[in-house]
Amino acid sequence: MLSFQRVVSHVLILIFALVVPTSTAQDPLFVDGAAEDIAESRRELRTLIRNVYREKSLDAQYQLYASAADSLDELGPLLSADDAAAIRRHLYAAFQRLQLPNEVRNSHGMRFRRVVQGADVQYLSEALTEGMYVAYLNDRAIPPEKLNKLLPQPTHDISFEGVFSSPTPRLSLRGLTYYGVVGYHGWMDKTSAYHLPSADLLQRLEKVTCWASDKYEIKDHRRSDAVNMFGGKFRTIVTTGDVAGELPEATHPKLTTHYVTSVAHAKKLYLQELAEVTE
Amino acid sequence: MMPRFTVLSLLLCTAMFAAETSDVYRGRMVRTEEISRQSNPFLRGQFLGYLDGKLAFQIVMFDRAEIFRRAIYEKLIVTRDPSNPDDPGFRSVVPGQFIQGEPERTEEVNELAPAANRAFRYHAGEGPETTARTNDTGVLLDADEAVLLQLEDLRQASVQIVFSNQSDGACHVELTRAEFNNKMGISYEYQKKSYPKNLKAAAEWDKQIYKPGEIATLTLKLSNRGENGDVVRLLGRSLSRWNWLDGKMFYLGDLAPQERATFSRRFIIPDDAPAGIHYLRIGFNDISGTKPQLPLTLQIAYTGNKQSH
Repeated sequence: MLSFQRVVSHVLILIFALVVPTSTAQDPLFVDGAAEDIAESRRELRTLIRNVYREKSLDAQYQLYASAADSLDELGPLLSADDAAAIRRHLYAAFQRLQLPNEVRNSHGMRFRRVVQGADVQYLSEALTEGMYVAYLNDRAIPPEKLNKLLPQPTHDISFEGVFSSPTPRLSLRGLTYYGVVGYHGWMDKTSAYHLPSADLLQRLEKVTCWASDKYEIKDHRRSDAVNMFGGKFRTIVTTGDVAGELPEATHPKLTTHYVTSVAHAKKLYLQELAEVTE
Repeated sequence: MMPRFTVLSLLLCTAMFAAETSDVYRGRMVRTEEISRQSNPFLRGQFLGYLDGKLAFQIVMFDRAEIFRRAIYEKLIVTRDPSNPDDPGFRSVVPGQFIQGEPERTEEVNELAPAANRAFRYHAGEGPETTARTNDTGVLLDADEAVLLQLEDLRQASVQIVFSNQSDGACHVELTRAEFNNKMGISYEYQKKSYPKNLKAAAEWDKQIYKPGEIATLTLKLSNRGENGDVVRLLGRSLSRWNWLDGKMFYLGDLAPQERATFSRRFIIPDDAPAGIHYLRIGFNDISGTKPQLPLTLQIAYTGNKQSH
């Protein structure tokens, strides 16, 4: 039998539970004025995006864009799907209108400069350096005996003593075979952002010998049939303005390696550079 | 008074006229005699195959003699009584007299001798003329690879080779690809399984470093390392960016287990070839369709003013 005191305490607890409002873990972040804060943030974001268009200074423009992108990352989950999508479209349009930097650098230290070819704009890299290539060789643990296949001529200073090294890491790497180019490309480029330059572009660059992205086609049908019959494969190479088909294991003492990337990727690289600077 | 002979002749003629007639016929053939013989020597060449690292042709001298002969017949006289149509007549051979038949022309082709130790000019197809000398047995080796060069075009079904010199004249050899393949041991007549993985290939240049204008000779050495299984209908072809290194065929044929074969080709280095290392491959093709490759290089020395590539 319950005691009188116990009954009174149960009643009081019941009254307390009914009268006092309860709180849950699902309470909104903003109470009462939350919608207004979101709307304000949304307006600020739109202003940021508009300022991207108005800003003349390259770095400031990119920083505004970066801020806008970060804000959208935070704000996006709080917006409706349609609203978020609309703002993303505005942000994308602003990205398209970002000024083009003259030079950018990727995470492997490779610098790209802007080249204009008619209506087309691309970013062409400096020559691959011995230091960059050494980083790839060591990271991928390439067997030292394979180096002769990748760099068959003594046109470089890369050596192996437990690890690969070069006393001249800033020197342009000369004499890389097509096999070597493909290997480095696969390691450097995880997002298909980089390609070999086209033969057209390379022909415009004086005194450059470089593998090109173009598929090599033999115009003489008889030779083409014979080459196919005997398993030959040629890759396009440009040697100081002359386009030729060369065997992929071939090399040349003046052969350097360059890559191109798109305007869009160059902008992303510039954003990353700025982010690294501000960190 | 009339001479006695005349009177007797008159009497005899009168008597004859009154008695028989004689006709002359061709009798049995006694012999033939050669009226004239004109000699027409000519050359005939044939493709022998691959000998001492070169394509070999044998040139032989023949004679096409133009002979005129006629038959010689007995002279027959048949005497008949003209008043008797059934008279078979009396046949008599006139001794010492013959009738000649009409001349008849015949030809005889006789092999004389190999065109040994003779210099010949020759060219294959539209290619340039070159010279070579036959040996003691009339065999000429195509050291300049004039014939092979014409056959590098795999669609070429035949090639005509003309050998000539001032003293012996000229001969034309029509070499079809079928005959060429047959004599080189490249057979398309059967289908057999091939084991190209058993193939081991090595190549040797006759020099380590060349100069522009020189001729580089490459010898391919192939062997079938397998214990069983042939490599069937093996062909090779040079593949290179440089047209003077590209497109040379190597004819190897079938390789039985543990069998070896060699084949050599010449590469004429142009006078303006750049110095440095030049890359080529020998691509192979056999009946199985696999295409193993043998990468090679050729080095041209830097000679002062010559441009390097």
